[in-house]
Amino acid sequence: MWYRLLTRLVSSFAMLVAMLIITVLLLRVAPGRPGEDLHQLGRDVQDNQSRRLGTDRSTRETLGDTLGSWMRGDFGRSLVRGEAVTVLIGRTWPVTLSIGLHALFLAVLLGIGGGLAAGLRSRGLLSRALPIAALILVSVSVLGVGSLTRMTLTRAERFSLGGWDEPLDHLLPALVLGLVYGAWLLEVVRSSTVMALRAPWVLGARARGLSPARVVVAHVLPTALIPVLEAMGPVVARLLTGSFVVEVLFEVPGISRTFMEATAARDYPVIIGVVMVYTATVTVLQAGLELAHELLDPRLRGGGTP
Amino acid sequence: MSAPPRRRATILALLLLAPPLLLALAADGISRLVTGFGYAEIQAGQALAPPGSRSVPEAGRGWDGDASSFDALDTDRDGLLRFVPEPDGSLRSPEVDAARDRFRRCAMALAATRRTGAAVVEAAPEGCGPGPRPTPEELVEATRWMRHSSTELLEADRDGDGAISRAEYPGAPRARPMLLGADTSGRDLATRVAYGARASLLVALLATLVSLALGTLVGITAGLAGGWVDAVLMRLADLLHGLPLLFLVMVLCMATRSLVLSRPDLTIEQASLLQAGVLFLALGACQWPSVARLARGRTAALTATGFVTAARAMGLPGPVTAWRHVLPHLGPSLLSYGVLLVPGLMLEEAFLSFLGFGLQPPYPSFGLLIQEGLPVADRAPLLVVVPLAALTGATVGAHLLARSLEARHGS
Repeated sequence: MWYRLLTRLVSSFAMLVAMLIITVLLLRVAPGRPGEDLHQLGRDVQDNQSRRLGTDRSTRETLGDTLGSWMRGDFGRSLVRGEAVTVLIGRTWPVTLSIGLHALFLAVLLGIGGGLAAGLRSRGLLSRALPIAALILVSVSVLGVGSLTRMTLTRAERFSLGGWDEPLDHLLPALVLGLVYGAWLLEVVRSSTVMALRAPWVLGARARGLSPARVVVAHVLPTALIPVLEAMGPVVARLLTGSFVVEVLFEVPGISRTFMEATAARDYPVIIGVVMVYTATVTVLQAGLELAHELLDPRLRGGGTP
Repeated sequence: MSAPPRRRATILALLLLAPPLLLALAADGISRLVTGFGYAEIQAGQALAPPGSRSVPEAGRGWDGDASSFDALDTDRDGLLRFVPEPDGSLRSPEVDAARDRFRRCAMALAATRRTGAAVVEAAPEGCGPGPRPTPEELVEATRWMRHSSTELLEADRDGDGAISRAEYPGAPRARPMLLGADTSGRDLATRVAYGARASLLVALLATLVSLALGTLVGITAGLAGGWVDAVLMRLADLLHGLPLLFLVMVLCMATRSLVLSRPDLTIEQASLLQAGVLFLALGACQWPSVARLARGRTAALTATGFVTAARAMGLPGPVTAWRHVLPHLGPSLLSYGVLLVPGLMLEEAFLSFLGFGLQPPYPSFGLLIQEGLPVADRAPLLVVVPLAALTGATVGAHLLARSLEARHGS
């Protein structure tokens, strides 16, 4: 258990460093530099500027500098606004996080509730309709559900874009995200429930005459939730991408706006900061999911490999 | 029905993949047949029309034979549209040219409604359209006769007297009907959706092929080699699998965009090809770890079988073993996994294009069409609904195909 936790920590750290290196290299290899629109000015202005922005150094120097300052806990300043990256991200990240967490909560609620309902009874009308509805929702995607919602609501003049003060401003993006990824999860839960109902220990529990409710709670649910935990990683990763689309659609002042502005201006420290914040979130969530997996699956206890 | 199930699944998949590929290869002919527009035509003829309008006046495509607009053109009321020679020898009609100037002013007013999606032209320029506040549609109809160009009208001069009489006047330029209406630049939406489907499907299919090729290569190598090669490759795959790589795709696309912008010598076609190429390579490169896991698992199971052991005992080189004895057995599961990748990649392409990172205008893709339509969606909802419906249809189709293939192989 402790060994697994330790390896997990080490590999999470490796992931963060790898992402940092890849991002810095990609930004260096990419053509164009911040401040390149200054080429009409004099040579000395350009030189000063590139010294200030750090674009006069070699790739290796930049990489070393960035890694070093990140290790020291210095995340740099925005090249455009001069603000510290931590301040900039600290202002916008809570907005995105709030949307994401609300959406995740809704998705888990919808996915597990709907999936169990559809999986436990394989013949009802509900269990036939739910997977189809889920497939359509997943295919319409966040982009579709979001733009249709936006169209309907702005048409009915019930919703103004770009605000972040009213409850509806918080609710709508989370609702759209949660609905689509809940549908995504629903299919996973449904198929894993159907599989779990056929597991030998479930059949055994039934044969011993346990009540149906007890069979479901004590035997089906833990079995069915293991594949769900495995699927949660991709769901969370997709939810993060989806949150980008939702924030742009509803003009939410979240981190996606920071990222879009930073990419347009080639504001390297901010781009790296946003990418790292997302990577850290994904890594932490994955570690948490792995831990939950271990707690839920008795086969993994005692240091065995999955 | 004597074919083995594996071959039948392959045939089914190819049959279902044929229509998008056909559309991709022959989009021009098909769209000409269905909508009456070729792509180059809608690209060149950015016409005067508010978004969503069903007909667009097009100069030089024939006349409607209705002489009623003659009086509006004939401002000096002499019953003739006179042509006078220019210094360079060409013949021009001041009356027709004045109408064209008025047309340009109307176009400015309409261009404003295109951007804002306003329902009514607030201040129609003088001499442009009936009534104080015409709707854009009325304005389009009213300005049709103003699109005459002097040189085209001169072709109607049958008696060669250098003037067009009422009898010779061929009527206003004909309006072109549009199946699904015009987009924000007066281009035919149906054609743009057909071509957008081509771009989206091609990018998704090519990205799938890239990830399948990369993943299979890594997976088989890891599975056959074993030992430290296996450990290193699979660790790498695990590492990449857990990273939000879509951000890197965004950064890469941003870089490509600025490369294209800094190279004015590239034509629009070359620039679009470059951007699409970077996009599908990057998207494919993000997906390979999951394919590699699948391929490695299957390969590891196969190495325990007799024929792979025999091939190794015979001293066959590794690549030959992989090609002849391992790859054929991976085919079906790779195929169904590949089909499963396509809808996801299509959605990712739509997301990226919608955010402005993926494919770039003027060529359409689903994401771009939705992005362009959204600001005017309350006036012209079809601009969002049609590309969305097409995207959903394609994604549902690909999902269903993937599921049926998966059910066949029981993987």
